[in-house]
Amino acid sequence: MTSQPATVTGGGPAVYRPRPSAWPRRALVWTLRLALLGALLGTWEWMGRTQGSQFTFPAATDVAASLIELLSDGEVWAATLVTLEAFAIGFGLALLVGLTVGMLAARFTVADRLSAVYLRILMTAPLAPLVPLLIGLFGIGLTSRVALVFLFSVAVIALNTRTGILNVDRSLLQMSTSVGAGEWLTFRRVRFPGAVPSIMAGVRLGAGRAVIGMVVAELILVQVGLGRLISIYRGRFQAADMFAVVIVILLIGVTILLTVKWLERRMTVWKE
Amino acid sequence: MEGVGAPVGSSRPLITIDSVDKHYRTRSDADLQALDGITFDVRDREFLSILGPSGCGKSTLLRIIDGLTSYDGGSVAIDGEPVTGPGPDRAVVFQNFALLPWATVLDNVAFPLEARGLGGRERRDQARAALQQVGLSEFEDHYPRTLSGGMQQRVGLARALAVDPRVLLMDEPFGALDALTRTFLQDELLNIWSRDRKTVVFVTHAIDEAVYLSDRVVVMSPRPGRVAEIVDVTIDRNRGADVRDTPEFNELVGHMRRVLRDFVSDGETAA
Amino acid sequence: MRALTYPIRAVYRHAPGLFTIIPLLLLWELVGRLELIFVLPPLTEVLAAGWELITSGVIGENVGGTLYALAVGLGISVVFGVGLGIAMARYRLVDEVLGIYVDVLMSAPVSAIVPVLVLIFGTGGESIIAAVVLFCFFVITVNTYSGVKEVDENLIEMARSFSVPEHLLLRRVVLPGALPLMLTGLRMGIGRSVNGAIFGEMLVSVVGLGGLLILYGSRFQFDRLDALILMIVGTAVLLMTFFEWVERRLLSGRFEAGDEREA
Repeated sequence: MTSQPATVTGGGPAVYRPRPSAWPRRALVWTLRLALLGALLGTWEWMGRTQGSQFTFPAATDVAASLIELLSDGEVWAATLVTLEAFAIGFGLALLVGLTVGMLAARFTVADRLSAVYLRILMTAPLAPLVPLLIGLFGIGLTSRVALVFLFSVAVIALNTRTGILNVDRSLLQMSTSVGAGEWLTFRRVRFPGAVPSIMAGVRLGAGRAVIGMVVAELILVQVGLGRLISIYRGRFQAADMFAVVIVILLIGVTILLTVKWLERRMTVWKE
Repeated sequence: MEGVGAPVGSSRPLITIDSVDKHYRTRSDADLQALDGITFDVRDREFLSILGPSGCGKSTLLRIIDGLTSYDGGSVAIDGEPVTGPGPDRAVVFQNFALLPWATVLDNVAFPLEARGLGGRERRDQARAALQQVGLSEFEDHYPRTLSGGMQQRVGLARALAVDPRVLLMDEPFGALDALTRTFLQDELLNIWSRDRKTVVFVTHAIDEAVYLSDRVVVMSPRPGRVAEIVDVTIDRNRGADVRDTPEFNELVGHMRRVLRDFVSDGETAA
Repeated sequence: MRALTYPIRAVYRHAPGLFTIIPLLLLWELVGRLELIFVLPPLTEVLAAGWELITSGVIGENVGGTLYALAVGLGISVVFGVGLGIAMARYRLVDEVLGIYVDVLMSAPVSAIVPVLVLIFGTGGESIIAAVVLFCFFVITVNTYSGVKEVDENLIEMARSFSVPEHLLLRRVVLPGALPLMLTGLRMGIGRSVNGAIFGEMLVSVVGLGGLLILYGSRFQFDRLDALILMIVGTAVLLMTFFEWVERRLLSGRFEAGDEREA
């Protein structure tokens, strides 16, 4: 299992890479993996055919068929773009604001004290309840969704940025003073590069939360994008189609996260 | 430049340390005295070691000389000028190397020059020259993590030499290295030093290292750190590795060991 | 006199930002009175509505359902999540086979699966429980896994050299060693389960606190909506802060700042 590196910021999981297995073992592992997947899909199929109905619990094959149909149909792509629009703008803003606030909080105690409470609230409180409020404020358009994505992700970015800058190796800072580097040079060459791993971890976590925010907004708002498709299919009791859209959303989320993880690895190449 | 076999340094004091005290305030608001009445001179172009057990304040003293830490009583002056902060006349070599892991070896060595405002080409050229002095020219594009501990410390040394300081301050520079590397680097250091004869203040807790490298050794007592004794190393400057087997060498080591041992047995903790 | 001001000074020392909320509250009242923002009635009205919600029992009726779903969902997640985490950490084959799936499910936006759950389990409490499990199961698993993995290898070797049977090994060596991260996982799990429960209820929109949120929103009863939001957010923040404090006390020395942690 490849869990996330345990930086000061990441969640508990330590870095773990499965030791390279010898050929027979790899074959065994993959066989078991696929067998498990097969068993699950098989159970799903069986349950769908015998227990559920096409209205409440579609069989796996039906869902697969819907998925293929969906992907070849243009509608899903248009809906995806609409959905992603909120993500892109919201996450973009969160990066901007989060990085700025994080850096300010690391540098100025006043900024730190002021922002601490709000960041904590945004990190620990359930934000879904804010959706009706946002709807009341901004209506059911893009703005509410962007706002939710922003609120979901800005805090973790800011906090990780702050921690990263504050926790730079003290001996390096001492060296920098000793060598006569001014504050700006020290920031450019020591504090900021040293903070990058933590910042990237924050970006990764932020991306995850932004995706969640995007999904939550859509499902509750149901007016646009993939959320709307889900609502339509649910209303028409087209369970298989609804399932298929859900899978599309999941794929989008996973893709975004994998991309960010890759980016994170690229930017921390100098670490052991 | 004086020749290799020349008499011990010139006798003119470059660094004057007079009755320096240093106090710390602990978490529970108690007063901890790290240094008490430290007084000695460092002569121009001499290699002087500060020897003492862990916790005696020798690293603190070095930081005071560099201007990184303030002091509470007495005075510290270099060439007559009191020390108020770090300056271009001093450079430090750190125990755990303090290299920027995200910068190449060359950029690491050039960093102090960048701090002085030198342009890119100029500082890289000077950095290259320094790297050549320590024999690491081929590694200029490497990242620190690809180098061994000994090599990393040589980069640290190159960085200190790159600014051509009057005083080289070395804070247990070989403390984080294994014994074999340490011996090798001691010789390297003497080689490099003999070319230029900068003034060196070398902090260590290893007696043989202090005797091997220095002209004089300041022996310090455990906290509160005081100057216990200043020992002249009367061995010829033209030393080889075999000097460690000579009776003079071992007499000096033995003497210092006894001085240090007396502190511990006097009940003063070395922590 | 000093004793009376102690709580205030304590708050100032630990959370000075809280004092910035006071001007915001005043601003809220002002904005409300001037009817500047549609969704912000005067703070006093919001507080009054909140009080009414509590006293009239509306909150009481609905919070029960939410709490029940949380308890059951967390219970299931803890029992099976810890079990899975230990199994994956102790048996490499299990780890390699299941690892991929756990990874994918951790990074996927599981909130998208909630409509599916509603479809399967209907609009009753079961789908909320399922949502809670969905949200917190993997966090608990992954943290348990890491916790067990980080137990000092030397201790395990030592136990094996004395032929300590597996169940005793688990009880005396592995679990105590893994406890710190397991607690972290539990804390994160609790946070996420609250999210799951409320979100699930909002989607279903006829049960629990989430249902109330949708209801008030749709009826434009913003005094009630704001009051409910304040209550939920406030409780959640206090709860999580409390757990962080507990975690810090129990694991003095080994605890790292919990703010930024999130699986």
